[in-house]
Amino acid sequence: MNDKLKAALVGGVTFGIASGLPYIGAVNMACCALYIGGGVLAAYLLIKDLPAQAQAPYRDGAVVGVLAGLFGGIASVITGLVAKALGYDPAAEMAATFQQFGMPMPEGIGVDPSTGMQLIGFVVNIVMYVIFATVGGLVGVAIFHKKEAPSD
Amino acid sequence: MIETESTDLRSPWRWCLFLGCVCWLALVFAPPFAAPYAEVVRWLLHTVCHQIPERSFHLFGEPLAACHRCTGLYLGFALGVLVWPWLPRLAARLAGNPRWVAVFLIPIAVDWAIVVNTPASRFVTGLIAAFPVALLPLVAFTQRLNPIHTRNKKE
Repeated sequence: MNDKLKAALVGGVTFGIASGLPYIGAVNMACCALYIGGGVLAAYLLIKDLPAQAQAPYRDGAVVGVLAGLFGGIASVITGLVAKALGYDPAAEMAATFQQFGMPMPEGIGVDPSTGMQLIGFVVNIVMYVIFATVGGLVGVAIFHKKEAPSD
Repeated sequence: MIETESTDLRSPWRWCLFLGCVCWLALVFAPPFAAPYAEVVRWLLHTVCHQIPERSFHLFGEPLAACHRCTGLYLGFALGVLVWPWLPRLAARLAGNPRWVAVFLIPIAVDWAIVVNTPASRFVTGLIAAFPVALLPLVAFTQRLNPIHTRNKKE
């Protein structure tokens, strides 16, 4: 398995599973932190063994971010389905969170969607994951890139 | 001279990225203008934003589909995609020292951590955080179009 694929798989699946888990998944409501985190972790894993370079490999960061998003989105959907099958109700959790902060529940969110809407929801989830993990991959490269010392 | 100083960010791909940003912003601003589809739009974006009405901007009495902070982030990113190609020197400096991007994330982290923040602080810190991040895909496009020019030296 090549390095990019391996990094994307580890970063994406780790944060994808976290996104699908009860309570931890709600962290995504803070600016998609887990989606972006998957891309950042994938970029870190890709870069950590690379030699110092004159310019940060943003292109590789974007590619690894897209892949991490794809793996993460799928992992998130599967984890969400497993959690739901085990009796976890995300709408009830959300309602409890809103109630805790004394805020009204936004309309439409607590409604149980039809099977068709659920399928669309899965696709949307994966697309969102790809978009934000790509940004995460780019940010990860920017942060963890080892800069080559200028030669005299 | 490091190679990033001569990086031209005006790749044609930037318009595709900008178009994507405009479409995304159209979704965020859609609910007040497309009432029958407002719930669909909110549902599309609910996985990436809490959409709490008290923490969202309102237009014509209707909350947008993203909170103050997310609206700032999306606008800042779109603005960055549009503006960075016209700031080549500043872009070269930031691309040459990419860790500075993380510095721009500090205000949003501080604003998130403090209990008493305001709509303006949430929006502005989002704008500040996302503006420099928009430079990164533009550099990635340049690296894709000019792989020889921007190729890194291997050890």
